[in-house]
Amino acid sequence: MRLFIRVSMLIIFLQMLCIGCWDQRDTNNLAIVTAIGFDRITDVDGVDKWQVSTFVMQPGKAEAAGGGGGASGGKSEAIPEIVWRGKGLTISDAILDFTKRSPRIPFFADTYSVIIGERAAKEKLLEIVDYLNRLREYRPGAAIMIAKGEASLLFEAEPEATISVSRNLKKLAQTTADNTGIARGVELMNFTANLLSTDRDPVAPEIRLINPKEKRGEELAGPSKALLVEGLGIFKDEKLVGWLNKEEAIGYDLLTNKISGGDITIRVKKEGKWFTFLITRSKPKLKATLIEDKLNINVAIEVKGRIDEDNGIDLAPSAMDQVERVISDQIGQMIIQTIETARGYESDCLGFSEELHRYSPKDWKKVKPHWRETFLDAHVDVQVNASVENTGKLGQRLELNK
Amino acid sequence: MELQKIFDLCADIVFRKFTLNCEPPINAVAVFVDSIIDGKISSETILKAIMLETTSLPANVQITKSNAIQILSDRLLTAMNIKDTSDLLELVDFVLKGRVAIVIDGSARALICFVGSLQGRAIEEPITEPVVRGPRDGFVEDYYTNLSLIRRRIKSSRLKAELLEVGAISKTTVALCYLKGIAQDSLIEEVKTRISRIKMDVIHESGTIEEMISDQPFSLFPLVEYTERPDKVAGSLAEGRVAILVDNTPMTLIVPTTFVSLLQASEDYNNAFLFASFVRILRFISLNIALLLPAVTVAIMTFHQEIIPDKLMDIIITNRKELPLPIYGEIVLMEMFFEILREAGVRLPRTIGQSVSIVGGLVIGQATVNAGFVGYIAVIVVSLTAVASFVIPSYAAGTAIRILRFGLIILAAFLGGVGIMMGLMFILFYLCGLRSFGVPYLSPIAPLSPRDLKDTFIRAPWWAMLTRPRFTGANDPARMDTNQGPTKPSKGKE
Repeated sequence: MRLFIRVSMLIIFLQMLCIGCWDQRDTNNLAIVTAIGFDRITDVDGVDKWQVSTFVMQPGKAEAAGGGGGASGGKSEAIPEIVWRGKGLTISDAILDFTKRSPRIPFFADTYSVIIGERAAKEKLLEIVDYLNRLREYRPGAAIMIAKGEASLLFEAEPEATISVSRNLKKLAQTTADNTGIARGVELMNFTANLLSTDRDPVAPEIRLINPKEKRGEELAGPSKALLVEGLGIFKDEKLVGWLNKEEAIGYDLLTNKISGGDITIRVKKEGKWFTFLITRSKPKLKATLIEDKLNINVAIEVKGRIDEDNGIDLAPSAMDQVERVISDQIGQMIIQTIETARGYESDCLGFSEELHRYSPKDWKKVKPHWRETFLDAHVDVQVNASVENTGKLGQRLELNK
Repeated sequence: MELQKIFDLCADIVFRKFTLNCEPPINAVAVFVDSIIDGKISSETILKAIMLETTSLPANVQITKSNAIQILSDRLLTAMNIKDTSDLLELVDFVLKGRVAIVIDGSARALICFVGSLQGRAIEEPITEPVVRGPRDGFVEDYYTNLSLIRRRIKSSRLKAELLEVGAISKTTVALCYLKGIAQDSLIEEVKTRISRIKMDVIHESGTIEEMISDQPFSLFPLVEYTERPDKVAGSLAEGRVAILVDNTPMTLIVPTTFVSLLQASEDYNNAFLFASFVRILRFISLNIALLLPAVTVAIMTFHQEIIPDKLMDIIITNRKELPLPIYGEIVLMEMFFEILREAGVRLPRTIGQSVSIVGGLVIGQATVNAGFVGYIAVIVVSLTAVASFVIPSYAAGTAIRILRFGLIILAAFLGGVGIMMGLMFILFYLCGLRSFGVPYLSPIAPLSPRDLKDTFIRAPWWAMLTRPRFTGANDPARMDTNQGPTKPSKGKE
């Protein structure tokens, strides 16, 4: 026994010496990838290839750029991050294409945003998702976004109100999209789950490059390339099939999510006058039933919000019923529009099947083989109950005292 | 004379010859160690009494060689504590302990008078265990004074103090204090046996005894606690533990010891219980910081970069870009520097110690970073660790943590988080296996005694701590009457 202990101690000690440090990476040898974009391109030689674009953090430059002057229009000397691009027959090949000329090891744990090009999303989406989930430094909370057009173009954008484009991307996908309702941030984890699930088709926010340059006097001002997250890409059978525009994205948001923060802005027209309704809270209630092999979907949405300005409509408490009715109608139309668009693409991104599955598994089993047809034939009933909780600090309209 | 031969060449031993005032005159000699007795009291109570008061004896009492001892002790000597002996070796022992021996010519017996010892250091505030709230008296070198400090706190005949003598040459007095009926007899017996087994020439300090009676001689963690606060000793005695007072040192040993008791400061019991509980929790957190922070830093920065947020990563890489050493090298280097500084600060006289800490702090904190030898992160981590390690009240436990910290840093540098877990597991196994005088070291956590948890991670209010600790106070578990806590006021009839 004593001998055994001594020998095993010796072995452990020798192993400690043999371990060395080959698994260790010092932090300053890492190239931190903050955003990654995937594209399918046809190369000059006519072969379809992967193109991977990445933002790599340039440590220490971020503060310099932020402190120096972001207002100078992107002409700051210190660049907080650099763009690396690579092409290859496989994703790993494309990544190796830029790794081979880098003195540092690429490190994907801080990759907050994943941008998938339109063509890649239509052709090889599953491969990208598989690759991301296979990574050692897999980040389940990374935001998935679908670029309208090629993803690599987005890497030429200029940051707005943040020090780097990748931070800009992260904020747009995580906060702005959710608060405005015109898109909804989707995390890699949920995206993967929905993509593989038979119950539901995923969506992902749409990102595109815009040119917000405006004329101020003689000169053009503002950045020429900026990012905008607006609308949603919708999928069917692991492929991108179409897009929801801004209004439809709000409809999607109201249908699928319980909203409890942010200001989702909705334009409403009443008696020829436009006014804005800001949704602060909403709660959808979906009910899917199967009656004689026909799907019946009941949607009831409780919407609460406020009106911040008085454009000539009557905001008196006695007239509020009418205002609310107009708002409810408007929102109801938006939601029906969303459902129709989704049905047009045969994509069940709204979670109706999930609802049926949950509500009555037996019926779900019955319609499962021909779900898509059932979904298209479904009878949808939308009921919106909007209420204005708040019209600001003023009780009455400001008027001249005569 | 035999005595003179024994005490040959002992400069501090005085033979004071005098003559008893009677017919015929009898020669006598007082033998004492001049340097350790109180000269004024001895001349007052012995020589003056014998030499001047002999004349006031009644006429019918006649001093002869045979009854001189009897008359001296009965009628003349005014010392409080007198003993007579006929054994020469015993007499020598007593003289060396600071008594005055009176040997009378022609008598086979001698008188031994206790005249009080020379005052040692005054009672001062304990330097190593200062408190904000609590008594300011600390033990001194003289065990007898220390005993008085304990006796003042426990005025009960149940407080026993058994004297033992350890050390063949040094003949150090060791006092065993316990509360009869509360401390378990088996524990008292065990302590006595272990102390009596010590066969040594000289006992240097209570540390010598601690090492000789410890359950696990190679233990990193202290299995015997020491303190210089009498209130802490009194509290421990009331819990059924045994205190070992050693002469010539203010450091008193307390057995048995548990790991948790090393994290309890005596002030916890004086402060408001909410605040004391907060401090306790803080102390447990600091213990973990002191043990783990450098190792965790090394593991994260070399193996697990995934858990560093991107903004922090930016700062870290910017800071560490051009540094020559890897992070574990930096941290080990800085920890060594810190330990050297600490040791230098302790050893040097206090005035120079301050300048050492200033120079060290400036040079190590500022200059090394500016020169680019080490990064800010290593400095921050090491200084946080250092501060956290000083929060642990027991200095001995702090040293154990310090040694283990280096082991964990090396493990972390080799194996990352896995290494730290391995190290922690070994430490936990080890702690679970330790025992101090039969009491499991990790009690009351393992084995769990839920009642004692009231005084572990938190300090419950006094009215809720009804029982003594299970392992030491099982003889008489009730500490107080129940139902002394806050109750609803009874509804008056008015």
